[in-house]
Amino acid sequence: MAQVTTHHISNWDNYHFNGPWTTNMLLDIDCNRNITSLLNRFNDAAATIQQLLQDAVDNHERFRAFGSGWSLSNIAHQKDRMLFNRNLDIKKEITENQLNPATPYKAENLFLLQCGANVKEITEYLFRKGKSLKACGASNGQTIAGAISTGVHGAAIDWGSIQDCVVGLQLITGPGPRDILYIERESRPALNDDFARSINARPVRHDGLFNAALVSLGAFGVIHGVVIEAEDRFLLKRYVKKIKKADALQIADGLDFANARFRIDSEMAADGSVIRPYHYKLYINPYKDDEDFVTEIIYKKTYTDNYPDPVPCIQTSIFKDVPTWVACFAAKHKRIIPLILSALKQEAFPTVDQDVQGTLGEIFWDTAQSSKAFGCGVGIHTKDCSKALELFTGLMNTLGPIPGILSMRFVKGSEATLAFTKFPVTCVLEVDGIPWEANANMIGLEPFLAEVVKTFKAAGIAFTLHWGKNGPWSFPNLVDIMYGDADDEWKNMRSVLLSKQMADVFSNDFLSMVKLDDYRVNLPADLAAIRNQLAALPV
Amino acid sequence: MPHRPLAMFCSLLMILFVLQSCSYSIVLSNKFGTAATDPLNHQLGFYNGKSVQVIDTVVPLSLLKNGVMAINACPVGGFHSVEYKIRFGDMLRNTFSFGKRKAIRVKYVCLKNSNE
Repeated sequence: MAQVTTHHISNWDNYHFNGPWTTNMLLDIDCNRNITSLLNRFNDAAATIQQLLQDAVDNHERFRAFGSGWSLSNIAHQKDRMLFNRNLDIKKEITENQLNPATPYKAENLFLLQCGANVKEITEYLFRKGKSLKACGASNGQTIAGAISTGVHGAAIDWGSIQDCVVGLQLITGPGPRDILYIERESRPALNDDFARSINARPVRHDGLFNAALVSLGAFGVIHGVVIEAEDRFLLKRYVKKIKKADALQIADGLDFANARFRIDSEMAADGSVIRPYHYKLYINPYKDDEDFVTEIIYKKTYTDNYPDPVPCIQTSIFKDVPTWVACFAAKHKRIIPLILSALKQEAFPTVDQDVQGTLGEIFWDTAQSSKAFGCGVGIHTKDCSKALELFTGLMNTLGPIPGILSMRFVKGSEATLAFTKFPVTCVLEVDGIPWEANANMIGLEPFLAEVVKTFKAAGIAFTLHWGKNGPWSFPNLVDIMYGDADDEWKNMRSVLLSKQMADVFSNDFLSMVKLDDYRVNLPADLAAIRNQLAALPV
Repeated sequence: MPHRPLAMFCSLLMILFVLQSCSYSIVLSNKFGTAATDPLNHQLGFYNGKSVQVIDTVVPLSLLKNGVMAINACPVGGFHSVEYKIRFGDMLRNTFSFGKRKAIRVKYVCLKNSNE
């Protein structure tokens, strides 16, 4: 069996120190490396997780898997038992004979990843196979299961978030022999039933179930295996330019690069047309209204190994944390925050006119963390981004100042039911900084973000919040406001897949707070039929 | 001699400043691979979440083979990062023992043993 080390702990904290939260037990699992076959090792780990689930059920305790703990809220936290899965990092190629006859995918682009493999490991593994992830976040520490469960994104304007490259999921929904499922979209199947059987799973092909389980917030069971579609490796050429605010927002409002006032001369096609970039991001100092925007524009290039190592340059331009004492000082003397941010602009923003080229893994390199951090990502339709930016910076100036800088990234919409990138192209308005203690002199982070929600709602701006970041999660009816009926569909699908008992085992305080933990005992007839079909599937 | 105490104080400050600058550490980190993990290691900075090993000892020269000290570490994959630290006292010890006693202050993190 896989090796499990049990730590009896009193509390648990995430990577960015947004806790701590009370926790009883941390289970550190590692594959049984004496098993030489990777597939057998993979299945052995799944069986061990089922044993751990059985033990949790027997002791009437809840259970939640986590990897890098990079989410900034308590979404990954569980008060009873937490499974640290970072060492479950098997990576395997998919072969032709495992393809579904109706698949649109090529075997050479498909890979099975175990839940704890992180983005950097996956990137390096794929590189050795001549492949690359299609997109990643701004850094590389998230595990694949954590990244897809919360909707980690970069700024791939025509691709999307990490979860959008997933074509199949192996879910462990309970301790029983029928409780390992392999789920795909019915409309775009990837692998055949033999593959599902090889990982001891029952195959399920259903678009609604798959899309709900894709951004699952850890509530659909333990995501043990993920099948992703990669692509041939490529290079990214990154430009950092200062653009007039009006020109940057002209692009932001519709991503119409062809008719934009701003253009990069070296990125024009032979016929004079404008080449569309892969990535577009704006860095904004919220306390200087008249300042030009530092803009990061990245173009996709054919891979060649003849390019200078970009990492030394990237290391100098990755967002650096500001020491925590600055936040403590700023909380007492808030009027100096704009001055501090202006002084630290060189640290927080990438260097202008420093062009570099590298692979996806090199351009979105390791981050150096030296302090606690907060971050909030508000997703909005691109048509609303200028208005939203004006409202957001207005709140930062009137209710704050708060010690954070703003940025805007743009991501293609996702099919996942609760993807926070739900708009055709989502503009992600982000504020990142250092947490501070609220006092009579200065508003707290959560009340500030609640004011953002109120203001956007009053202005008629549809929005979402990044699941893995800080937010006013206790705001009344927040998920309904953000997702309309989609959260009901998500709950329905969760109730189809899980028993009531296991739905409770996989719930946590975060899920209760956002009112996503209720279980539908009496499902509508069509969903009850799906549940019956699942029950009838042979083991 | 009204300025003598002040001059001595300034000199002392200078000496302390110089001695302070004689102690420093450097971290060398592998561009490739990821660090071995420790979910219980919560500390701000580079080592957060990493499994850190520490060597903090003084060894006689006779323990080193041609200046090399072999340690039983990182059996698979190698080092993710190595931090070495040099203190002023360590240099003094080396000097006054004619190089026969050397301090070794190293923190290292192994590469994570990946399942591939």
